[in-house]
Amino acid sequence: MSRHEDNAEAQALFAEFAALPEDSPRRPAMRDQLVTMHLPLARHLARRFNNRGEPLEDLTQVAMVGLINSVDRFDPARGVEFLSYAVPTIVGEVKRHFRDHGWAVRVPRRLKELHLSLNSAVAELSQRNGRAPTATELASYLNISREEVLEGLEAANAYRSSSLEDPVRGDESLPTLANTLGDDDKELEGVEFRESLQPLLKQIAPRERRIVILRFFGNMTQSQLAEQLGISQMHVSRLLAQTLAQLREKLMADE
Amino acid sequence: MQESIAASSPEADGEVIEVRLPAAPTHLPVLRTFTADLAARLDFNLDEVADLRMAVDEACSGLVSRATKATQLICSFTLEPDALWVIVSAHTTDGTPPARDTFGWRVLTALVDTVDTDADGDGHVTVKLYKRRAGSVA
Repeated sequence: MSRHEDNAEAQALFAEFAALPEDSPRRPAMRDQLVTMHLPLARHLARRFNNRGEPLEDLTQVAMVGLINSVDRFDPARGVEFLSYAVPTIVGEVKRHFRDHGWAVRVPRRLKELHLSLNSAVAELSQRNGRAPTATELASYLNISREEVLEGLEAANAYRSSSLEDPVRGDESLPTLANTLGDDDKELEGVEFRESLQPLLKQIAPRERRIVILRFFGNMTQSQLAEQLGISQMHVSRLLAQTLAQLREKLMADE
Repeated sequence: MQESIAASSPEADGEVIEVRLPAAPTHLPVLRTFTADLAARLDFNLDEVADLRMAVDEACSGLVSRATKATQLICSFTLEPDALWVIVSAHTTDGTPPARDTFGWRVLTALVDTVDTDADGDGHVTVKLYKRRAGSVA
């Protein structure tokens, strides 16, 4: 069958799919059919990212998720072809995977999955209790053993965070950062060694700088910082530890 | 939860875990991981676990940078029902405790409930960190 015919068939199917009522018993089967007929596309896109440190099997799975999302969200009424909608969606999903799942060392897949569930459990429980959870609370929430939680927390340390060396290229999540930096400086008023600290703080990225000031001079907890910055507590923890080490090195060099 | 000010040294009947390692920066990651795992096992919440890890790193980095050659860094962890003492010491070249008007001191006091220091006049410097567990008390 030619590609053109493929596309025509897909378009017809999508039109039919879209016309079905939400609760139609035919929906699941048609959805499967639409996903299945585009599997080669997902595999092809996943292969484009092969040999970049993530197993092809994982990439393919992520691409499938992108494909399923595309099928679910595609609206044929908007007049674009499915492919022009699906390709960027799938590629976006794979790229996000690279961004979110970068590990500094090889970590078994089971631990990576555990890390993901821990991360969301930490967010959920912090929200609920207004403070970070303990290992026991995580274990009961996730219905796994405490030992597994501890193992997962340890593995979290092997997780590669967005490096401090990364340039802060327009972090969309923090549009008002520049405006709030002035406020952060207020926290430094009355600090004896402000004179020596400020030039050092100026050398670190705005987000890291803000985390350091609010944690050590503004008395905010890591969970509170995580919530304010829209990143995970574990991410705050890593950023803080890295920045602290960096500052310490600079301070010692100055001595 | 008790509001009383922390005692200035560990309870005599607390369980003690001692770790000794060469006072060199290359060994500090082991101690950081050990501290974090111990704190998580004691059910400190994750904020407190991260705080303890950083506090121990900060205290030990300071000691290690001034440690005399081939000396040992001695870290003792005393487990109390709702708190943890971490006492780190090493023999240093200058024998003076960390200065209190520094960023490093600010970091330590922000991370744990009590920080205290000791110098025996013979080159040994000790930093005592005390952290209470808010944990599930909230």
